[in-house]
Amino acid sequence: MKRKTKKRRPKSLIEKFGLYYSHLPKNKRRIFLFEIEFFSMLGIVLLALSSILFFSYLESIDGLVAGDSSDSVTVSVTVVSAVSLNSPADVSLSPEIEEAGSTSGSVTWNVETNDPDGWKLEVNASASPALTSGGNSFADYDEAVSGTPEEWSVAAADSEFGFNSSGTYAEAGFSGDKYLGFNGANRIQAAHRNAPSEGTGDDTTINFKAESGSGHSQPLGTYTATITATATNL
Amino acid sequence: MSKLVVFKIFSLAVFFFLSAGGCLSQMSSGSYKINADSINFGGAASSSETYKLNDTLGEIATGESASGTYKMNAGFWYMVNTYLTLTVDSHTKDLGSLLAGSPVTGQSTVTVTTDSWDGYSLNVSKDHKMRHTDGVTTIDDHSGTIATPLLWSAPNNLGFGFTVISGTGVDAKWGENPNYKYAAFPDVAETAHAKRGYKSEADETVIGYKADVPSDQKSGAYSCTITYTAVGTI
Repeated sequence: MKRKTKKRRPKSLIEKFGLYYSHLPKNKRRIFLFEIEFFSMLGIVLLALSSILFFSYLESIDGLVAGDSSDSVTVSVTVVSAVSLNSPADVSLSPEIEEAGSTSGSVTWNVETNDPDGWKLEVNASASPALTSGGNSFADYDEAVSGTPEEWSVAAADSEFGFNSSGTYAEAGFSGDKYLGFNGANRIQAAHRNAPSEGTGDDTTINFKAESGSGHSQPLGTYTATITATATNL
Repeated sequence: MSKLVVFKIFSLAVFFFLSAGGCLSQMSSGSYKINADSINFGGAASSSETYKLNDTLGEIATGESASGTYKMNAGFWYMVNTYLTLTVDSHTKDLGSLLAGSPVTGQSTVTVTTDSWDGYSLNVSKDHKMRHTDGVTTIDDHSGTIATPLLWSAPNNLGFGFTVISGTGVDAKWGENPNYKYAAFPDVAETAHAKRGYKSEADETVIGYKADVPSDQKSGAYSCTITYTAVGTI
């Protein structure tokens, strides 16, 4: 009679472990359990270490770049000098002269420049004498020393028209209320500054004065003078 | 017992594989992107006072190979080390004479050649503000920034600034002709333009300069040096 052989199912790993464990002497079972526990802990520790090392590595790579290349250019620009002058309103001298007496008025010019060397302001009249009314006129102020400002003084028999300048940058010769006469189209320097203007610009005031002497009979009329101011960078 | 040892080793290997594989599969997130990675068993960036070393250990089949048509550089470091050059069309750029209120312009063409597979960033910086030959006076920077360029119009119509006139993938923030938007050159390099993706030929970016000054800006010559740096993207 043929013996019927029963095909045995292969044991699973857990069954093998169980079988192995059950066959162990009691004194070796504890060692076996310790080994299982030890290697499990070791696995966890190594897993943690590998993760730390991996992320540390990623961090070091994170700082890498693909290299760089540079070049440079020097950019330049030249800011040019410029000077500007405002256009003040016309001025009427006051009071009106009745046969004899004096009258005055003033106008302020503002100079603006970026020139590091500064600016100068000059004035001139469009005609000589400057103050006229048809064929009549006031003579240009006649200073004792031509071109040197002096204190205002008009002889009784004369009528004259002159100016001075005031302000921080007025020519020093005008200080003390000293005057000059115009000299036709010839420019007379009224102020200057050896530096660029500041803020909204530098002001200079031109003060006009006319007088008819007590012994002089000035013809009636409206007298006008056209005065031109010119600002120039130095 | 030997089967148990094999099992232990196998378990640990599975742990390592799963941990490493899980990390490497995370190539991007909302905040980070890993463009180049390598699964091996070591490597890092290290340096001494004289040398710097970036290495990987355990890569397989690295090195250069080529056919008549293609060239291949295999390995992690070939991915992160790229060829990159930058040149500016001229090392001097004179914007000419500047009269306050009449801005002057100019431009430089920056040419970058790289085999970087993710393009490059173009960084710009200046050594100092546009400075007068007196060594002290400067032209202010334009009020726009690289983050927020501004149209050249009052009150943002003074100073020295730049725009990106043309290039590959120019950001819309720079505006279009004639309404370009301008920014001041930063003192520390910042990215003004980023070109993404590989390009087989040289890539040109045109940078436009513009300057204007207030009327009280000191006249004379001003200059500064602009540095362009291309940084490969990996």
